[in-house]
Amino acid sequence: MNTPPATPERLAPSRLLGLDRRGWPGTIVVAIAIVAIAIGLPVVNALVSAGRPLAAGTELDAGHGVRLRVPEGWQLTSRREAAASSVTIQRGSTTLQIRSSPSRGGLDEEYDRVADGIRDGRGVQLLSDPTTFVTTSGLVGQRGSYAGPTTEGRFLVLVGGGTTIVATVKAPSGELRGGIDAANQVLRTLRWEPS
Amino acid sequence: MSAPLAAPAWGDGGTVVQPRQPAFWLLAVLIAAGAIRIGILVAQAFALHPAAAFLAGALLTLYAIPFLLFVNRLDLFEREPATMVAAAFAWGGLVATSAALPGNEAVVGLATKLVSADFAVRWGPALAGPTTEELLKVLGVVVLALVARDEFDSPLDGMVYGALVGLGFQVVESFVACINAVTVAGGHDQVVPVLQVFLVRALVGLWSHAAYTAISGYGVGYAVCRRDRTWTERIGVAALCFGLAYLAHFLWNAPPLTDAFGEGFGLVVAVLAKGIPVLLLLVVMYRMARHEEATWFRRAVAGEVGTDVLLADELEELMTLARRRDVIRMVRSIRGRRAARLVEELQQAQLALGVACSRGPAAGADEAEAARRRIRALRVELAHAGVERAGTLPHGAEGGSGAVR
Repeated sequence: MNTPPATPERLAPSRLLGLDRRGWPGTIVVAIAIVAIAIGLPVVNALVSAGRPLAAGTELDAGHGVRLRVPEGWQLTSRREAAASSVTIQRGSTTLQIRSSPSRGGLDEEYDRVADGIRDGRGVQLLSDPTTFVTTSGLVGQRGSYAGPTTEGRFLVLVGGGTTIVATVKAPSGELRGGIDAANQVLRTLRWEPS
Repeated sequence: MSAPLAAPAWGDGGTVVQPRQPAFWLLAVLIAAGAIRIGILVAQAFALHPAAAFLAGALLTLYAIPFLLFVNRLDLFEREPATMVAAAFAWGGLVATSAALPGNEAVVGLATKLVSADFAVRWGPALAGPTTEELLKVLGVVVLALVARDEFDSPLDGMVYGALVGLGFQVVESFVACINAVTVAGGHDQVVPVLQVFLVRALVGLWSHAAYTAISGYGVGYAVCRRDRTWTERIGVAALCFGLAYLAHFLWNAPPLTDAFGEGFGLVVAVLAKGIPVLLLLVVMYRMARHEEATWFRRAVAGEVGTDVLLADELEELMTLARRRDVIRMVRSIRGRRAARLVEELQQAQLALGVACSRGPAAGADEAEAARRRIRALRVELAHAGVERAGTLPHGAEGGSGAVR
């Protein structure tokens, strides 16, 4: 095979900062795209207001005498309504809902009822046996965890003074881990005050 | 020799280490940053849940190896250079994953604020996954093309590198998911949550990240290699492939399709219903890419066909793995293992000749000449071993034309 002489371009490609000039535009576009995703999106997310941020120490009422204190960083996404007797707060991608209702049985019975309800969800499976959870005020409850096709979560059932408190912490799959500690901090403040 | 479909020789070829290319430095910096980020996550996992981390790591390694070998054999004519394979895998496992973590969280956060928390929990993965992850993964293929454009001979190369990027992503994401499951489960039982997550992810492995990025990688390969088409067409095909990958990922993460099939066996049906179309699409695209690859190879070696280094029959026998194996098997059965090994080496040398020719008359001249010398030397050895012309069947054997004496 005849080998033609190498072209001048091949021997001495145009350089910019000592590197092949032709590679710069594509490289810059890729770099911008990565920065936009890894840094730009979080910045936009931080700039978009959630609307109802809660001041540190805000006390919320979840109905039936159930109260909780919220540390900094949480936002209120739904206020308690008399009929619903629940309150929902959110921090990043983690959502925490507290519901209260008159008890229909003991702690084990209430836990089983809640666990059955979660298990009945589409594609949801419980991940662990119940473990004990104690709030700062001394309320004793049982805690479980679950995972679904697109979400994962923990739930806590407490019974005190004839009231059942069900707390559910959930987030999209893979993102709960970062919010668990903050949620536990809130859950430990749960207390029941007779009206 | 006829003009091959040669890409312009930007780098030295055969390696990802191209210090003269700006994209190489971007790749190096991002892999280093990703290694630190993912390394910290992995170290934390081993510190918090050592048994779970070890089990997940072991299972995913065993899972990845056959996938890696399979993907690396998809290109019939040229094994991808080891450094390129490693870079593709590292981009998926280190760069795309570490950049997707904050990106995904931001998308879910925005969905929460702009719509509602319930919407974000339900639809967040369907919005965030394709938007950030598919883009980040396909950018890995783009970077590899910028670093070593010579290694992209046809859209099939884009598919292979895309699959490798996706596989790297899949492995690291699955490791994180296993550890998350243990954490969410309270951290006491370190085995069952890992096995549960691994089984689910192994089941969907065939049509998960590797498949999506193989689809979008085809588009990058097409845009890079099909210089006979207009820019509009090349960009259009790349955009269409990315759109298909995005849609497949979106449908996979979207809850309504999962809900529609119900519980238990219904979930398996849902997995199959969402996955099999993706797999079929991938098979069709692979066949198209392989056809283009074969066309590229035929054009590259057109000037050699009929000479002493590549007979017309031998070219046909190089076109599929099955035909190559048939020839080797036939020679082994008649002339023994040594002769079969020589035929295999001859095939490899002829493939190397084609790849060298594709690099163009200037860039590939030395490699092509070395391949020709090797082929001629192998023919002499084959003649001593009783094989006149490898790749053809002996008289009376399986209807062949007579080559093994």
